[in-house]
Amino acid sequence: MGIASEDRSKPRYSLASISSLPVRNMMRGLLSRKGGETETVDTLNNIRAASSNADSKIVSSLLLHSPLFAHLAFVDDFPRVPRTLSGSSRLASRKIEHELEFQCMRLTRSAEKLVAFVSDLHRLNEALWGGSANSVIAGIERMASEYGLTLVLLRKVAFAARKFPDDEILQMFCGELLAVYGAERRNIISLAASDTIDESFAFVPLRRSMIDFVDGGHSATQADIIRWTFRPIRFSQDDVESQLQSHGLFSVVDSLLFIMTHLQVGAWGDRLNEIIRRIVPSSLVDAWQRTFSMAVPTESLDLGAEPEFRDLSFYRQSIAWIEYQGVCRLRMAVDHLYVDNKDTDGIAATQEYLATQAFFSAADNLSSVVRSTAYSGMVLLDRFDGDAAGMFLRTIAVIYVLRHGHPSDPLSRAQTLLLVNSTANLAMLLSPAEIRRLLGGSSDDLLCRYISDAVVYDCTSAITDGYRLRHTLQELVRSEFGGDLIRFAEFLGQNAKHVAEHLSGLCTEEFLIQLFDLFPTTDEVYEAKARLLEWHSDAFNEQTSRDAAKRLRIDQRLQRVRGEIDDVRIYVDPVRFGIWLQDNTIEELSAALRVGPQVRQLASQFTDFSDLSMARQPHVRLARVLQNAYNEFCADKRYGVDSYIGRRIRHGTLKGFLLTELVPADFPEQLDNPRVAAMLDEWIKRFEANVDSWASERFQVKSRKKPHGLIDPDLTTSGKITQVRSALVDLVDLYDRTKSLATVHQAMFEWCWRFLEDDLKRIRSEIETARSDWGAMTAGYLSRPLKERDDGLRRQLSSVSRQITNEAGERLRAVMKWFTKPTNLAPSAPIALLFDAVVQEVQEYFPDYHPQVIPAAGADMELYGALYQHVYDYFYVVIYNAAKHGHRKGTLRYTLGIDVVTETRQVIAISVASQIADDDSLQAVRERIQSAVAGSLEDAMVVERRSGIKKLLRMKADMKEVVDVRIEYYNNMVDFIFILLVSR
Amino acid sequence: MTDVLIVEDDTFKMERLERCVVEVTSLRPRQAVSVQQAVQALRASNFDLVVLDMALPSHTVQAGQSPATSLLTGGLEVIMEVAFGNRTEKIVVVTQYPEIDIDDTSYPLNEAHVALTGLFGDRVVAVIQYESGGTAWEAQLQSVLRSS
Repeated sequence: MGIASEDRSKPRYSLASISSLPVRNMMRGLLSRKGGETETVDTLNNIRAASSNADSKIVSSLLLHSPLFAHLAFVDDFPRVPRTLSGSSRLASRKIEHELEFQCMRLTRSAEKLVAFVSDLHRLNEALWGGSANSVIAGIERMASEYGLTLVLLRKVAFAARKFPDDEILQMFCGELLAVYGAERRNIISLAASDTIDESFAFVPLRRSMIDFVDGGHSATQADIIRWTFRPIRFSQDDVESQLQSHGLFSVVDSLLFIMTHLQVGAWGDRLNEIIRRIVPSSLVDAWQRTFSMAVPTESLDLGAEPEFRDLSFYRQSIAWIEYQGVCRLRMAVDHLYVDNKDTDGIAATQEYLATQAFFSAADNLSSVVRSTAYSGMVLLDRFDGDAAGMFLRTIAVIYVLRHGHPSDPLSRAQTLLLVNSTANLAMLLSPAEIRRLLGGSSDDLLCRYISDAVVYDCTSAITDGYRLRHTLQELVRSEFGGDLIRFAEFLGQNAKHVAEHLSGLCTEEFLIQLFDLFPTTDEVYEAKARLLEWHSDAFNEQTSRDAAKRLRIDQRLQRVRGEIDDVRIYVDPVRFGIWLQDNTIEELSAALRVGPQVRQLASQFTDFSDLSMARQPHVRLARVLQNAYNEFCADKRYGVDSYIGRRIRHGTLKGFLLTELVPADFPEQLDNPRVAAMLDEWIKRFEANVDSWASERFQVKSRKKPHGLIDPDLTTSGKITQVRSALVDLVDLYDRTKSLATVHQAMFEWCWRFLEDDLKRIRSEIETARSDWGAMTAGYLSRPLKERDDGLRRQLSSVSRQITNEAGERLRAVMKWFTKPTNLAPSAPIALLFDAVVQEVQEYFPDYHPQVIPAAGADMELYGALYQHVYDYFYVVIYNAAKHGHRKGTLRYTLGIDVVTETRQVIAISVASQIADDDSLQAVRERIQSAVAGSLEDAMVVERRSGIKKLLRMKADMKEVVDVRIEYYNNMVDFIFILLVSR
Repeated sequence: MTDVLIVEDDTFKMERLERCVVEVTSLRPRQAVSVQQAVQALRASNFDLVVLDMALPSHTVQAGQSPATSLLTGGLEVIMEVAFGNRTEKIVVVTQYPEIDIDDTSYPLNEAHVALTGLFGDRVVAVIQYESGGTAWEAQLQSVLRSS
C-alpha cells in the first residue's frame, strides 16, 4: 500500500461512487482516526477481497487522492529514510489488474516529478560512467534529497562504492549511506545490492545463499526484492502482483522502475499494457523510453582486466543499470537459463523464450558456441557471438543449445576440453543427466568421460559419482599417462588451464587416498600430493603451494622419526589436517588477513557470526575460517577428534577397557550367593549402561544428532569466545609479522588444541565425578541382601567392593588420560627431532653413511612455522655435504646454544660439526667451500646441482630470522654455525 | 558356498568372523584388512560372499610407511567395487557401529540395508550389528552363510 501526502485536492470519485454497500461501509470505517494500524490493515484487506473491478478503481483513487484518507499515509512516495520492513502494512494479495491500477495511479499523481527523476537519474548515470567522484557524490546527494532513499539509489550507491575504491571521501560517503540503508544492521536487501555488484563473493553461491536465506521464512517483501535482484524481469501473475506491491512499499520511484522495465520489454501483455497506457501520462512513459533506450556504454565500466570474465562482471553490475532497455532484454534472455540446478524456478515464459531465441540466434549448435578464439573482452548486449563472447555468455549459450538448440554429434576430445575450459559453473547450473548428455558421460574416450564424471561429481557429491570419477581418472592416467597423475596435470596445464586447476582442487588427500590403483601405498599418496603441489606452484606461479609441498615432505619424515602414534590418547593427525588447511582455507584466509593489522581491533571484539551481513567483515571472515578449521579438527571422520572417538570409543575399546574382568576372579565363593550375585550383576549393569551412555552420547562431537556431546565445535559459546578473540588477534599479528600463511596454519592447529582443551577438561571432570559416583561400590553394597549375621562374609564382601572400586577407579583414571592432548604431536618440531630426521633422510642417499652422532646436551627447543623449514634446510645442506664429502663413519656433533636477549626475543645458535674424510685436509676443504660460495649469491636459489652451501649463506640475506651463518675449521672438523633471532 | 572374503581390520573380530565362516563352510576364508587390500583381492579372485566391516583403514599399514587413513565408510568402496565391476559376489555387512553414513545421511542399521539395496541392488544381502560380548550376530551371519 502506498498513500502519499500530496495532491489530494481533486478526487474524481466520492464514497457514493462505490457500488458495493459492504465496501462502502468498510471505507467509511477507515475515515475514523481512532483505529490502530492492525485494524486498518485488516479493513483494507477486506476491502481488497470484496471489491469488484470497478469498485477497486474507485477505492484506489479515493485512498490516493481524497483528503478524507490522508491520515492513512503509511509510505512516503519519496521516503526520507529507507523503508523498514515491519511487515504489518503489507496487504493481502489481490488481482494483478487492481494492484497495477493502484500503482499506476501513484505514478500519475507524481508524474511531473517522476519525469524530472528520469532526467536526474540519467545525469547520475553519466557521472557514474565517466565523471569524477565528486560529481557522483553530488548526483547521489541530489537524488537522495529530491526523490528520497529508494532502492534505485541504493544500487547506484553500491556501484559507486565499487567504481571508486580508492577515493576516501566517496568511500566514506557511500559507507554512511549504505549504513542508513541498513548494511550495518544486516539488512539483506542492502547486502544483496552491494554483494551482487561487488565481486568479493562468487555469484552463484552468493545467489543460492541469499535465496535460501529469504526462503527461510522472512518477510514476503524482502523475499520479493531479493528474488527480483537475481531475476528482475518476471512473468508469473501472482509473483508480479506481489512484486508490484513490494516495490511500491519502498517508494514510487521503485514502483516506476518495476512497471517501466517490464513495459519496455513487452512483459505486461496487451491487457495490462492497456492499463498502464490508460492511466500513466504518456509524458512519463515517453521520457522513460526515450532516455533509457540507449545502450549502456560498457567500455566506461570497470569490468576487470581479464577479458574472459568481463561479461560476468557486467552481468553482476547490470542490476544497477536495469532501467536500460538493452539490459532488461539481456536479463530477460539470460536469467531463466542462469538458474541453480537446485532451483525449480528456471522455467521460461513465452516472452523470455522468444527473447532468448533472438539473443542466441547465432548459437545453433555446440560448435558455434565453443570456439577456439581469443577473448575480445567485449560485452555483448544485443546478440550472442561465438567469436566474441566471454566465459559467462558462452556458458549460457551452452545451456541454451543443450536445452533448446539442435542436436549435434558428440563432442570430440578437443571440443570437450575447450568447452569446459571456456565455461564456468556447469556443475551448479545443469542437472547430472544434462551434464552427461553434454560432456559424453558414456563416451569411449576416457578424457571425455573423466570430464563428465568430474562435473557430475561436483554437481551431486554422491559417493557413487565419486567412485565413478576415481575409477575413470585412474583408468585414464594408467592408459594414457603411464600411471603418472602429474603427467596428466601437465597435459591439462598445457591444453586447458581451468581444467588443470580443477584437477588440482579435486586432488585433496581424501581423494588421493582412495586412488588405490595409482597409489598402492600411503607413502605414494603423500608423494603424489607433494608433487601435485609443486606442479601447481610452477603452473600457476603460487609460491604457497611449493612451501606446502616442502612442509608436507618434512612432516612426513618427522612423523616417521617420531615413530608410532600413541593410539590411545586423543589424536588429530597434523599432516592431514595441514593438508586440509592448505586445500580449503588459503583463499579466504589471505583475503581476510590481507586487510592488514586494522582487523586486530575488530578481532578483539568478535562476538558471533550472525548473518550474511557480518560475514563480509574481514575479522568475521577470519573467524569463519577458524570456525571451519575447528569443525574439521573436531568432526573429520578420517583424522579429526571424531575419527579418534570412532576408533577408540564407539568401536568398543572404551567398554572393553572398563568392563573386561572388572570383577576379580579370585572371589568366587563369596559371589556364589545368588542374592549377592544379583546385587553385583545389577551394579555391573548400571556401570555398563553409564559407559554405553558415555560412548553413545557424551564422548561425542556435539551435533544435531548428538546434542549431549561434550566436544562442542561451536567457537562462539561463552566458554570459548574469549579464547577465540585471542586467537584472532594472534593470527592477525602472526601474519603481520611473518607474512606466512604456513605459519598461520600451524598457529591455527595449536589454537584448535587450546579450544579443545576446554571440552577435554569437561570430559575429565565427568570421569572424575563418575569415579566417586557410579564407578564406586560402597563397602556394604554387596552384603545388603544378606539376612544372616555372618560378619566374616560381610567383611569379605566389603573387600570385594573395595577391590572393584579400586580397579574401576584406576581404569577410569586411565581413561581420563586418553582425553589429554598428546605432547609429541604438535605441528612444530624440536630441533633434535629435525636433526634425527635429516640424518635418516641423508642415509637413504648414502647407505654407508653411519656417523658417530654426538647429540646436543641440555635443553632442546620447539620450532614453529617457517622457522623449522629454515632449520631443516640448514641441517640438510650441512649433513648432506658431510655425507658426500666427509668421513662416512666419522663424528657428527650437534650442539645448541640458547641466549635470551629480551623478554620476547632470544638468539639460538645451532652448530653441526662433521669430521672430514681420512684422505682430505682442512685446508683443501676450506678451499673447496670458499670456491663453492664464491661470486654473487643472487643465483644461489635458482641454480641447481650445487652443494647448497651458497643457498645456506643466501638465507642470511633473505630470511630476517637468520642472523648469521658461519663456517669454522678445527681438529679435522668443519663446523657450520647457524644463528637465529627468534621469538621466545 | 565356497569362497568367502572377510574384510576386517580388528584382529579379534576377524578371528571370530573366521570361526563363524569355517563352522558353516568348512573352508578357510580369504582375509583383507584394509580397503586397498580388499580391492586387490577382488581384482585377483572371485568370491561367493564378502563379509565386510564398514570402518576400515584405507591401506594395510606397513612398517616404516606413513599411517593409513581411517575411512569410517571404507566398506562402501568395496561394495562399489563389486557393484560397478558387475561382479557376482554377495555382501554381508558386519559392523560394530549402530549406523552407517551414506551421502551425508546417517542410517540406523535396520534402515541401512534398505538404503544400500536402493543404491547397489540386492547384492547386499544383510547388515548385521556386531557386538563383542554378544552372539546374536553369529546366528545371523551363519544364517546368511547357509542360505547363500
